[in-house]
Amino acid sequence: MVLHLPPLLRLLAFIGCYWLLDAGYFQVPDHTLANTVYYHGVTKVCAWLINHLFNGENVSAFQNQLISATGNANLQVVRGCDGSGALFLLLAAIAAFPARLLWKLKGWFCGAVFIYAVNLIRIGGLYFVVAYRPGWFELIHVYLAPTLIIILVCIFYGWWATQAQAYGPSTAAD
Amino acid sequence: MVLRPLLIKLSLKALLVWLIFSGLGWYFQNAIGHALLPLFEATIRMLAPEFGSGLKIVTQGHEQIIQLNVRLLKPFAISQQYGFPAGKEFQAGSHLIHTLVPIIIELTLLMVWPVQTFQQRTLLLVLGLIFIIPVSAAITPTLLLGLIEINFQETASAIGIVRPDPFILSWMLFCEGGGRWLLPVVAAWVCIFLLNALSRSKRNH
Repeated sequence: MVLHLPPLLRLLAFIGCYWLLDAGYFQVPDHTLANTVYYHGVTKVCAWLINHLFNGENVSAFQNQLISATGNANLQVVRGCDGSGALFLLLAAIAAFPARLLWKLKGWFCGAVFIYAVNLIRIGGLYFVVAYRPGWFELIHVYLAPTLIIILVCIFYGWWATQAQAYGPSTAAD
Repeated sequence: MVLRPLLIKLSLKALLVWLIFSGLGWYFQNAIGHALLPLFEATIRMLAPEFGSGLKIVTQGHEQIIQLNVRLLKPFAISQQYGFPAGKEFQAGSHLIHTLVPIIIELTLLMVWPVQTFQQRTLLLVLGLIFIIPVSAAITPTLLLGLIEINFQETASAIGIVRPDPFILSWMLFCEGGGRWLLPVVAAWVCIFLLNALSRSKRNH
């Protein structure tokens, strides 16, 4: 069954879902994120990708850090740099949209994969910036990358919402 | 896939507008920063009347930093035994371009949202510019004050005291975690809602 909320309640649902996800995220201890989640989910994967795509980089993952063999780069992935903010925005926006559950599940799954991939590219890119253009780091890290990721999330959401409305009529019951 | 051409056009437009606004924001960061300083100063004075504060934009290397200097107007107690005397000074700073992030997001969304007439686009952007004020005031001043609060938390931690997080610090962490993106998205949504309401009301009269 699809829940049709008035626009302002939908907005509140969006904010509420985001807040719940964010609050849950802050319950995860820092050491769990750094030593387990970021190591297995981010830095190890990033190091593997960089070493396979760019021969000779010899980058290694240590906990939440990407470290170059030459010692000219040490990039740390910390809380908030993991794409969680963008992910929570997308999950909350999909949750608040009046669509069938199946479409929401598709949106959540594809959205999570999309943001994970975009974030890996961002972190891999930041590694190269730290290694070869350190003067550009702040510009890209605090300005260009976050705004671009949110615009990409909005584009993804626009595609998903259009398809969800076109192929999954919101009046039908699940 | 339905509406594919329109979606492709809107997606490309979004990327192009983001690129243009990002470039303009970077180029005019100093002017935008100086225009926002009075708003930030007023917000900081309202949120933290216990501080005498000064805000300025300084250059560090190639980067522009918004720097907050605060002076305690009265003694500040960390615990019953420990605190800071009146007159003690603290400093916090944030990259100026970081301040522009919510502005770029909000204006890009409003510039790309499909409308029917030029007047609607103008109205949407005017609403967007108005909403930039509360969005910016909710983010940068609390970031700077939150950084000052972190000083107090670190001092408390160093002397073995558990000090509950003040609201400013919790809000700052929320904003830095992604709230900085949520607020402009919500603001853009409200602007679009208002535009639709105004257009409906105009049609009905």
